[in-house]
Amino acid sequence: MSRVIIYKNPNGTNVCVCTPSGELDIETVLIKDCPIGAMIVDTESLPEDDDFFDAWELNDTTVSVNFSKAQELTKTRLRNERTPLLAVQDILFQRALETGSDTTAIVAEKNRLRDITKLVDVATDLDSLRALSCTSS
Amino acid sequence: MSIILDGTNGITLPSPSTLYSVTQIQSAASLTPPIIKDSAGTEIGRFCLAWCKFNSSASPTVVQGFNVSSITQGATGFWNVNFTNPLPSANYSGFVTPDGNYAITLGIIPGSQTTTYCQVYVKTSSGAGYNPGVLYVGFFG
Repeated sequence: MSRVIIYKNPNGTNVCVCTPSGELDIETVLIKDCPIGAMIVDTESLPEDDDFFDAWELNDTTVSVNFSKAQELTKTRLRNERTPLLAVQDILFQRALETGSDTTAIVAEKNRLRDITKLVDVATDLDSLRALSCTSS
Repeated sequence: MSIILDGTNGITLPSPSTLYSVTQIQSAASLTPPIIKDSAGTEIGRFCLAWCKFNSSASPTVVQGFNVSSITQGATGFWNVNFTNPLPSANYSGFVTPDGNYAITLGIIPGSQTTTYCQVYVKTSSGAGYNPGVLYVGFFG
Protein backbone atom coordinates (compact mmCIF):
# COMPACT_ATOMS: atom_id res chain seq x y z
CA MET A 1 0.00 0.00 0.00
CA SER A 2 1.56 3.30 -1.06
CA ARG A 3 0.89 6.72 0.35
CA VAL A 4 0.52 10.09 -1.32
CA ILE A 5 -0.18 13.62 -0.20
CA ILE A 6 -3.41 15.36 -1.19
CA TYR A 7 -4.62 18.94 -0.89
CA LYS A 8 -7.04 21.32 -2.55
CA ASN A 9 -5.53 23.09 -5.53
CA PRO A 10 -4.81 26.66 -4.34
CA ASN A 11 -5.72 27.90 -7.84
CA GLY A 12 -8.92 25.96 -8.25
CA THR A 13 -11.37 23.60 -6.67
CA ASN A 14 -9.87 20.31 -7.70
CA VAL A 15 -7.45 18.06 -5.85
CA CYS A 16 -3.66 18.00 -6.08
CA VAL A 17 -1.90 14.68 -5.56
CA CYS A 18 1.77 14.74 -4.61
CA THR A 19 3.78 11.54 -4.85
CA PRO A 20 7.21 11.38 -3.18
CA SER A 21 10.02 10.04 -5.34
CA GLY A 22 11.71 8.22 -2.50
CA GLU A 23 14.66 10.61 -2.15
CA LEU A 24 12.99 12.06 0.95
CA ASP A 25 10.48 10.46 3.30
CA ILE A 26 6.84 11.42 2.82
CA GLU A 27 6.69 13.44 6.03
CA THR A 28 9.55 15.63 4.80
CA VAL A 29 7.91 16.02 1.39
CA LEU A 30 4.67 17.01 3.11
CA ILE A 31 6.43 19.91 4.81
CA LYS A 32 8.76 20.84 1.94
CA ASP A 33 6.59 20.50 -1.20
CA CYS A 34 2.99 20.92 -0.02
CA PRO A 35 0.91 23.75 1.45
CA ILE A 36 -0.49 23.84 4.97
CA GLY A 37 -3.55 21.62 5.19
CA ALA A 38 -2.15 18.91 2.93
CA MET A 39 -2.56 15.39 4.28
CA ILE A 40 -1.05 11.96 3.78
CA VAL A 41 -3.46 9.26 2.59
CA ASP A 42 -3.30 5.73 1.24
CA THR A 43 -3.66 5.55 -2.54
CA GLU A 44 -6.41 2.98 -2.01
CA SER A 45 -8.59 5.71 -0.53
CA LEU A 46 -8.55 7.63 -3.84
CA PRO A 47 -11.05 7.02 -6.66
CA GLU A 48 -10.05 3.88 -8.54
CA ASP A 49 -9.85 5.41 -12.02
CA ASP A 50 -8.23 8.73 -12.77
CA ASP A 51 -9.97 9.54 -16.06
CA PHE A 52 -12.15 12.03 -14.18
CA PHE A 53 -9.27 13.43 -12.15
CA ASP A 54 -10.33 17.01 -12.90
CA ALA A 55 -13.68 16.23 -11.28
CA TRP A 56 -12.13 14.97 -8.05
CA GLU A 57 -13.19 16.86 -4.95
CA LEU A 58 -11.73 16.82 -1.47
CA ASN A 59 -14.28 16.96 1.35
CA ASP A 60 -12.60 16.79 4.76
CA THR A 61 -10.45 13.68 4.27
CA THR A 62 -12.33 12.00 1.45
CA VAL A 63 -11.74 12.34 -2.28
CA SER A 64 -14.71 11.64 -4.52
CA VAL A 65 -15.77 12.35 -8.09
CA ASN A 66 -18.17 15.26 -8.54
CA PHE A 67 -20.67 13.84 -11.05
CA SER A 68 -21.73 17.23 -12.43
CA LYS A 69 -18.09 18.05 -13.17
CA ALA A 70 -17.62 14.61 -14.71
CA GLN A 71 -20.57 15.33 -16.99
CA GLU A 72 -19.01 18.63 -18.09
CA LEU A 73 -15.67 16.91 -18.73
CA THR A 74 -17.45 14.30 -20.83
CA LYS A 75 -19.23 16.98 -22.86
CA THR A 76 -15.90 18.67 -23.53
CA ARG A 77 -14.37 15.35 -24.58
CA LEU A 78 -17.27 14.61 -26.94
CA ARG A 79 -17.12 18.12 -28.44
CA ASN A 80 -13.42 17.63 -29.15
CA GLU A 81 -14.10 14.20 -30.63
CA ARG A 82 -16.87 15.40 -32.93
CA THR A 83 -15.12 18.47 -34.34
CA PRO A 84 -13.16 16.56 -37.03
CA LEU A 85 -16.13 14.26 -37.67
CA LEU A 86 -18.41 17.23 -38.34
CA ALA A 87 -15.80 18.69 -40.68
CA VAL A 88 -15.86 15.47 -42.70
CA GLN A 89 -19.66 15.57 -42.88
CA ASP A 90 -19.54 19.21 -44.03
CA ILE A 91 -17.32 18.22 -46.94
CA LEU A 92 -19.59 15.30 -47.82
CA PHE A 93 -22.60 17.63 -47.66
CA GLN A 94 -21.00 20.14 -50.03
CA ARG A 95 -20.07 17.40 -52.48
CA ALA A 96 -23.60 16.00 -52.34
CA LEU A 97 -25.03 19.43 -53.11
CA GLU A 98 -22.65 19.84 -56.05
CA THR A 99 -23.64 16.48 -57.51
CA GLY A 100 -27.31 16.65 -56.59
CA SER A 101 -27.02 13.53 -54.40
CA ASP A 102 -29.28 12.69 -51.47
CA THR A 103 -28.14 14.43 -48.27
CA THR A 104 -30.53 12.69 -45.88
CA ALA A 105 -27.94 10.36 -44.33
CA ILE A 106 -25.41 13.16 -44.04
CA VAL A 107 -27.87 15.46 -42.32
CA ALA A 108 -28.85 12.65 -39.96
CA GLU A 109 -25.22 12.05 -39.03
CA LYS A 110 -24.59 15.77 -38.47
CA ASN A 111 -27.63 15.91 -36.18
CA ARG A 112 -26.49 12.81 -34.31
CA LEU A 113 -23.12 14.41 -33.67
CA ARG A 114 -24.67 17.72 -32.64
CA ASP A 115 -27.02 16.00 -30.18
CA ILE A 116 -24.51 13.60 -28.70
CA THR A 117 -23.80 15.80 -25.70
CA LYS A 118 -27.46 15.50 -24.71
CA LEU A 119 -26.76 11.84 -23.87
CA VAL A 120 -24.49 13.09 -21.09
CA ASP A 121 -27.43 14.67 -19.29
CA VAL A 122 -29.31 11.37 -19.07
CA ALA A 123 -26.29 9.32 -17.95
CA THR A 124 -26.56 8.22 -14.34
CA ASP A 125 -23.09 6.95 -13.48
CA LEU A 126 -19.43 7.29 -14.42
CA ASP A 127 -19.37 4.09 -16.45
CA SER A 128 -22.19 5.46 -18.62
CA LEU A 129 -20.17 8.63 -19.19
CA ARG A 130 -17.05 6.64 -20.08
CA ALA A 131 -19.04 4.60 -22.60
CA LEU A 132 -20.17 7.63 -24.56
CA SER A 133 -18.30 8.14 -27.79
CA CYS A 134 -18.90 9.95 -31.06
CA THR A 135 -17.87 6.89 -33.01
CA SER A 136 -19.55 4.07 -31.13
CA SER A 137 -23.02 5.40 -30.38
CA MET B 1 54.33 13.02 -10.98
CA SER B 2 52.65 15.55 -8.79
CA ILE B 3 49.28 17.07 -8.10
CA ILE B 4 49.47 20.84 -7.69
CA LEU B 5 47.14 22.51 -5.23
CA ASP B 6 46.87 26.22 -5.84
CA GLY B 7 44.58 28.69 -4.09
CA THR B 8 43.91 30.51 -7.35
CA ASN B 9 44.02 27.83 -10.02
CA GLY B 10 42.64 24.96 -7.97
CA ILE B 11 43.90 21.45 -8.55
CA THR B 12 46.24 20.70 -11.49
CA LEU B 13 46.64 17.05 -12.28
CA PRO B 14 49.98 15.79 -13.68
CA SER B 15 48.96 14.57 -17.11
CA PRO B 16 45.85 15.04 -19.26
CA SER B 17 46.11 11.42 -20.32
CA THR B 18 46.07 10.08 -16.81
CA LEU B 19 42.78 8.58 -15.72
CA TYR B 20 41.65 8.83 -12.14
CA SER B 21 38.91 6.65 -10.82
CA VAL B 22 36.89 8.46 -8.25
CA THR B 23 33.53 7.81 -6.66
CA GLN B 24 32.64 11.40 -5.88
CA ILE B 25 33.43 14.90 -7.07
CA GLN B 26 32.66 17.56 -4.52
CA SER B 27 32.05 21.16 -5.42
CA ALA B 28 33.74 23.91 -3.45
CA ALA B 29 30.49 25.81 -2.94
CA SER B 30 27.01 24.90 -1.73
CA LEU B 31 24.39 24.22 -4.46
CA THR B 32 26.98 24.99 -7.16
CA PRO B 33 27.99 22.03 -9.31
CA PRO B 34 31.59 21.63 -10.50
CA ILE B 35 32.41 22.90 -13.99
CA ILE B 36 34.00 20.57 -16.53
CA LYS B 37 36.83 22.12 -18.60
CA ASP B 38 39.07 20.86 -21.37
CA SER B 39 42.88 21.00 -21.38
CA ALA B 40 42.78 24.64 -22.49
CA GLY B 41 40.59 25.60 -19.56
CA THR B 42 37.49 26.05 -21.69
CA GLU B 43 34.25 24.99 -20.11
CA ILE B 44 32.85 22.05 -22.07
CA GLY B 45 30.12 20.64 -19.92
CA ARG B 46 27.90 20.80 -16.89
CA PHE B 47 25.92 18.30 -14.96
CA CYS B 48 22.21 17.64 -15.16
CA LEU B 49 20.73 19.46 -12.18
CA ALA B 50 17.67 17.23 -11.87
CA TRP B 51 15.91 14.61 -13.94
CA CYS B 52 13.05 12.21 -13.56
CA LYS B 53 11.12 9.46 -15.31
CA PHE B 54 7.59 9.12 -13.99
CA ASN B 55 4.27 7.51 -14.82
CA SER B 56 1.76 10.27 -15.35
CA SER B 57 -1.51 9.51 -13.62
CA ALA B 58 -3.59 10.84 -10.77
CA SER B 59 -1.00 9.42 -8.39
CA PRO B 60 2.23 9.86 -10.39
CA THR B 61 4.80 7.13 -9.81
CA VAL B 62 8.44 8.12 -9.97
CA VAL B 63 10.33 5.34 -11.74
CA GLN B 64 13.77 6.85 -11.31
CA GLY B 65 15.32 10.25 -10.96
CA PHE B 66 17.80 12.54 -9.34
CA ASN B 67 17.20 15.61 -7.18
CA VAL B 68 13.44 15.23 -7.51
CA SER B 69 11.66 14.92 -4.19
CA SER B 70 8.14 14.54 -5.52
CA ILE B 71 5.75 14.98 -8.44
CA THR B 72 2.43 16.76 -7.91
CA GLN B 73 -0.45 16.46 -10.34
CA GLY B 74 -2.64 19.56 -10.05
CA ALA B 75 -4.85 18.79 -13.04
CA THR B 76 -4.85 16.29 -15.84
CA GLY B 77 -1.72 16.94 -17.88
CA PHE B 78 -0.16 19.39 -15.39
CA TRP B 79 2.57 18.49 -12.90
CA ASN B 80 4.90 20.19 -10.46
CA VAL B 81 8.38 18.67 -10.44
CA ASN B 82 9.64 19.44 -6.93
CA PHE B 83 13.41 19.48 -6.41
CA THR B 84 15.05 17.82 -3.42
CA ASN B 85 17.74 20.51 -3.28
CA PRO B 86 17.22 23.95 -4.82
CA LEU B 87 18.77 24.60 -8.22
CA PRO B 88 21.49 27.29 -8.36
CA SER B 89 19.28 29.64 -10.39
CA ALA B 90 15.74 29.84 -11.79
CA ASN B 91 17.15 30.42 -15.28
CA TYR B 92 17.74 26.78 -16.12
CA SER B 93 16.85 24.95 -19.29
CA GLY B 94 14.71 21.87 -19.37
CA PHE B 95 13.04 19.24 -21.48
CA VAL B 96 9.76 17.38 -21.26
CA THR B 97 9.13 14.40 -23.48
CA PRO B 98 6.62 11.54 -23.47
CA ASP B 99 7.19 7.85 -24.03
CA GLY B 100 5.51 7.43 -27.37
CA ASN B 101 4.24 9.25 -30.40
CA TYR B 102 1.30 11.51 -29.68
CA ALA B 103 -0.34 14.51 -31.35
CA ILE B 104 0.33 16.72 -28.35
CA THR B 105 1.99 19.89 -27.20
CA LEU B 106 4.13 19.85 -24.11
CA GLY B 107 6.75 21.80 -22.24
CA ILE B 108 7.46 24.03 -19.27
CA ILE B 109 4.65 26.36 -18.21
CA PRO B 110 5.86 29.92 -18.87
CA GLY B 111 6.77 31.73 -15.68
CA SER B 112 6.64 28.58 -13.59
CA GLN B 113 10.36 28.08 -13.18
CA THR B 114 11.66 28.50 -9.64
CA THR B 115 14.72 27.11 -7.90
CA THR B 116 12.55 24.70 -5.91
CA TYR B 117 10.08 23.42 -8.51
CA CYS B 118 9.10 23.61 -12.17
CA GLN B 119 5.66 23.11 -13.71
CA VAL B 120 5.35 21.04 -16.87
CA TYR B 121 2.35 20.22 -19.03
CA VAL B 122 1.09 17.94 -21.78
CA LYS B 123 -1.95 18.89 -23.89
CA THR B 124 -3.75 17.31 -26.80
CA SER B 125 -4.08 19.15 -30.08
CA SER B 126 -7.47 20.40 -28.87
CA GLY B 127 -5.84 21.99 -25.81
CA ALA B 128 -7.10 19.55 -23.21
CA GLY B 129 -4.69 18.35 -20.53
CA TYR B 130 -3.48 14.83 -21.21
CA ASN B 131 -1.66 12.07 -19.33
CA PRO B 132 0.58 10.33 -21.87
CA GLY B 133 1.75 7.50 -19.62
CA VAL B 134 5.48 7.70 -19.04
CA LEU B 135 6.97 11.18 -19.04
CA TYR B 136 10.64 12.22 -18.94
CA VAL B 137 11.87 15.57 -17.62
CA GLY B 138 15.36 16.98 -17.18
CA PHE B 139 16.81 20.30 -16.09
CA PHE B 140 20.19 21.84 -16.94
CA GLY B 141 21.85 25.11 -16.09
